[in-house]
Amino acid sequence: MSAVLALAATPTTARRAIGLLSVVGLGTEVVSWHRAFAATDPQPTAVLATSPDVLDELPDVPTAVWVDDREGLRRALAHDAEVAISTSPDLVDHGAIPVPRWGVEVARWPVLPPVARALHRRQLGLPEDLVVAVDHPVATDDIVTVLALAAAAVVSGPLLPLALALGTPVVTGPETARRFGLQAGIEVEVASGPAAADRAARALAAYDHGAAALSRRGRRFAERHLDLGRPAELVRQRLGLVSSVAAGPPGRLLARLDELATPPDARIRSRADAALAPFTPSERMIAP
Amino acid sequence: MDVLVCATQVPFRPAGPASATEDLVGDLVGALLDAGHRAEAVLVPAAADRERLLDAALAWRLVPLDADLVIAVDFPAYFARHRRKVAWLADHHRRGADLEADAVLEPGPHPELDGSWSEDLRQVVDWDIRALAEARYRYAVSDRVADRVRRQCGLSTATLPAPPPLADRLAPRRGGAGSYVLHVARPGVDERAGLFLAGLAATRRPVPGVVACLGRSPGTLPADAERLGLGERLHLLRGVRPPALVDLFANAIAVVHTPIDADQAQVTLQAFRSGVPVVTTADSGSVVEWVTHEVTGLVTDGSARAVGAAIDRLAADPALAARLGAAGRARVADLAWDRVVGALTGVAVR
Repeated sequence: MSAVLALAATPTTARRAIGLLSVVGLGTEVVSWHRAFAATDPQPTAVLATSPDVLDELPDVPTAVWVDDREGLRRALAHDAEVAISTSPDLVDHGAIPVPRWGVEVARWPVLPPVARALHRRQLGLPEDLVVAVDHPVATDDIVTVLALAAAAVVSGPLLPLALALGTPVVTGPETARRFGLQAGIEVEVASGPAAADRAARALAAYDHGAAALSRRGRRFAERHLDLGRPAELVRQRLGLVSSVAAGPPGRLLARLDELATPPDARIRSRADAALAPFTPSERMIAP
Repeated sequence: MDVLVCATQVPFRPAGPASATEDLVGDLVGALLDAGHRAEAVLVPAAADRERLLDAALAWRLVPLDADLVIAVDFPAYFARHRRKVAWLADHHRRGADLEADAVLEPGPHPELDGSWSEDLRQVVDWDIRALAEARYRYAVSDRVADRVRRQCGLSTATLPAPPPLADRLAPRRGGAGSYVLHVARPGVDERAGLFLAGLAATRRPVPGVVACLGRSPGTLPADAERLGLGERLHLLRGVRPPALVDLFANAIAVVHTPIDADQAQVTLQAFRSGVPVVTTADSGSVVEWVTHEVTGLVTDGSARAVGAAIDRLAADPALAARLGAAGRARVADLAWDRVVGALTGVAVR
């Protein structure tokens, strides 16, 4: 039976938890918390609260709570919440787990370096210098595909973290770059206005070395500053939602695969599993 | 300090001389020992097929490397995990995969590209980026290899050429003109010996030619020479041992070195060391990084007629050959193992 994670939200704070919840809740049954749980309802084993305002109503289970200020952090501590989450750097110094304001689950999106994009474009008969502009608010499959294939992209909306995670060579506006803490010419190219941005993206698409460097640094920026996976893993640990971690040689092998950011469905993972299969039937290999 | 030089082993390789990378590893270990370090080579076999392409890379991640410094010279050895890892790339080939990765970045149609390889390519390049980014310093033996790392991985890489094999023994002849044009045929490397033969056949003067086969089998060269009517003008030497090259280089009018898109230019560097000019082609890769037309040799368009004309010029004008040869020798004067060792180990003592 899987763990049950309840989301306890106020109307004004629910939206900000969606991204983190989608990662924290992996492998659990996610339900919406309400006061009158029926006997047949699954009882939560942990709660993710989007505001200290809902703490009084919660059952006595491990709880993570989103806080915005020191008062919120004080209330979280007063309620013995297992973990406080915040986008405020000030609160991180006082024990809150930092969550990026605009985040993306980086591990979910395998990076596509320019050389791999070029191969895909060629196979699909797309222009070698495919440049796109994306300002959509939501990542539909079409948008993800476009960002994954582009030689360069002008990205001005909330999908910038996704574009960077995919290794897309990105051109963005100065305000967006400032908001995300991106450096011009390092992680992104910066241009003011649509015409200048288009010109910059076309120049980037035609410059192998620059596009490859920007792609690599953009992905690293997403891994270091925009990843929801790391805070989610910390929250899962504190809430007791982490099942088991492989130990011994299999654990070390998995750690090596993880440090290379190998996707779950990568062929090399299957080959590593196959290599370990004769040695891992015993439960002794898995530590609690 | 204790230094481990990590490279790929090629088991059951056909008998013959070492490959360029094997030469490099042996010479580097020797140079490190000469410099007072403790040094050993660590070799792990790697598979060439796509299915197993990353197996050895993953294996390298788990190889315990207890040393002060690790120097990785090829794929997948640079996946070695060490707090002080330096990559010095003799090549950046991912056997069976790399040519296609290169081709992707070239404009034009690419019928050889296999659609099923997209995800493999993506995974290999992403792993490459991460493993090479770990290196404290990245060097490549040629501009060509360094450029490939920049284009595919977006990682800056400095060029640090290796002295060629026999570097300390190769020297110009003591006066007089050369008496033949030389081609060195290394097994497993497409040096375009056929172009050398065709060029020799296209000369107006009966310039003698020597093909030094480092392997036992000369392949189709005898038949090709006969077909071209070279007769006694061509001397085909089989199973030449590297030390014998010292005299062969020294007494040559010129060396014809025309590999296709080579990552290293060892034969050219050996010729320069011997004070002998090189005839090459514009598509010979890193060879052209060294051979400057009319300065250290002659760069041709790759046609037999042009190669023949270049041989004619140098055979007819010993002063020109001597001038270009001297310029070549000056060009490689700075290539020394102590400089290479200093660059590679400097990171560990800073």
